[in-house]
Amino acid sequence: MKRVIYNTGLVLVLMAVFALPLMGFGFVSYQEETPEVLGLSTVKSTNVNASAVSNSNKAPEVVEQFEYEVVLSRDSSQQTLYDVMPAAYLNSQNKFIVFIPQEFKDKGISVSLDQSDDSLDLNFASDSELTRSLTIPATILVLN
Amino acid sequence: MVSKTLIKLIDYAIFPAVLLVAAKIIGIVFLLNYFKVDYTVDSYQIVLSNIPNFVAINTYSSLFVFLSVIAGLIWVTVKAHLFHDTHINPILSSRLFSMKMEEVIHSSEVLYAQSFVWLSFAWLTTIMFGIHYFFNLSEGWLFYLAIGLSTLATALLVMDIEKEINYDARSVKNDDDSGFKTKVISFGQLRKEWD
Repeated sequence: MKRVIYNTGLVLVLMAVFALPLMGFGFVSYQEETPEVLGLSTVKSTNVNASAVSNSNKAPEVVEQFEYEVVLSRDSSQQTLYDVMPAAYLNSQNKFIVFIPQEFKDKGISVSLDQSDDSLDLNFASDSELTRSLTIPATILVLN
Repeated sequence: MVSKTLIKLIDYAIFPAVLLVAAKIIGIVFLLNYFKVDYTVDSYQIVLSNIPNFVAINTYSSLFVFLSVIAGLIWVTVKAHLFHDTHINPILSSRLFSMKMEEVIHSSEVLYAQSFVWLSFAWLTTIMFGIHYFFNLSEGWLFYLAIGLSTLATALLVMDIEKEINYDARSVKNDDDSGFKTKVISFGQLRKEWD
């Protein structure tokens, strides 16, 4: 019995020695630049030259373009970013369009807007947990 | 009481284990300075803020580790093929003895224990590279290189074991034919017997 215990101990020591180099692999690590929680990492707005896109048939004019980089949480398949539009744009004459690159749509991510009198909310839906952790560029156009 | 084989394996495994850890750490420090990558030190870890930099540093420092493993494997394989006491070339053997370098001639017991240790490290690091590649923490070429070289080293050492088995089989056959028992002795032992 003693012999078995001693030899088992030796096997454990051998395992520890074999595992030692694997510890070296944890010596370097990285921290993601963007947090993996629901949030906006960057917001950029561009004032579009309305005259360039308007025509005589009173087609909607693009008055502002907002670009967002959205980092979704892994925890939920339906996620909402509340109040993504400055109050100045929230009037009854303005309309809003949101779009994301086709590659994200192909991965099963859908995006929509919820407009109320005093806020505009951005909704994301994804069935796959893998795609939820992506950083998604979303663009909202303000039309008048 | 305790297994001599296990003690020998532990004894032979300590140096490679320390060597591989040192290779990884030296590799990381060298690459960080060579590429002038920004990093922070968090307790015992070096933390990079950029994922492509992390993948590059991790891949090339792992290459340092694997080169150390390959160096060990080459040494063991060369010993197994050229300096194995059961099938060493007699001319080489006599030269080594005349140069008092008989320590480089090893018995099967020593060679197989060392081969087991180095091959285990080769396959463990290969598995580790595979896991890193799977999770996009290192580049794929390192994993494929490691798997190729580990397979080659394993094949070469298996060939040496086969040589050994054939040698034993021949010895047994000779014993049967002549009625005498054969005994393998080194030149050192022969010299002692002559003295």
